[in-house]
Amino acid sequence: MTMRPSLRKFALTVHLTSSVGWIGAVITYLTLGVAAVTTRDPLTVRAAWSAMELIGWNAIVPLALGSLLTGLIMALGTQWGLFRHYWVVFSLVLTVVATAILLEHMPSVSSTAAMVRAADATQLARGLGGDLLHPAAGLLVLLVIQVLNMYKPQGLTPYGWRKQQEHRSIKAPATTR
Amino acid sequence: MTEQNNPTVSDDTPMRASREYPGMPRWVKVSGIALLVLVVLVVVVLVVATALGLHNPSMGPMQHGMPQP
Repeated sequence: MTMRPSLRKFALTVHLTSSVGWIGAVITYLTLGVAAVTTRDPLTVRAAWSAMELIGWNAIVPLALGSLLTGLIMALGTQWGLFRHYWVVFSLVLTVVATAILLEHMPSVSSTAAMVRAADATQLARGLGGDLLHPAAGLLVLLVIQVLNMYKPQGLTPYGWRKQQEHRSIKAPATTR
Repeated sequence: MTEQNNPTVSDDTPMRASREYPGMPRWVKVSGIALLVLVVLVVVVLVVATALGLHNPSMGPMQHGMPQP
């Protein structure tokens, strides 16, 4: 099933917006995480963690789910398919893994943000820390997905190759007439 | 097995050259191995860190050295 061009363009616009927005939101989260790690100011730590919690739940999670959903729609609604090209398979797997880790990680961000809000200045000065590993690794994965989607490296899966052969064999008699 | 020895493939078969799957591209093999190594590395680090008490899955990102309020 392929989408009409106007619908395909709309889906692509939503997909690009959510995917690039996801990367931007992760960069913002990472910036706040670095601020929480490097500062000695308790107010900055509290503000950073509150903002990280808000950005996580209100921007990163919806954008991740939106990107995954629109990516599935784009793959299934165009000739690319979901399992025909290796770059699509890689993008799908990486997006699913990144989204799953994000959803698994966000409750701990909320609990840390609540703890930081309740902690006093001495506790914060003693236990300053941040959340750099998850956003840094996540950003790396998102950039890999971005590169895959831009360059679309060649390579058909066995399923994609079979489908291509079927398509050619259907098309060939029609063109030889 | 060569094509000459294969009775199912003859010279008059249409699109004879593209009948066989060309195989997995090199970038897929390299990326797959790199991904596998990375996953194994992460699992090993997590297992070791959990065994040493440095990582508790139920704890938050910065709750290791911080007392509960």
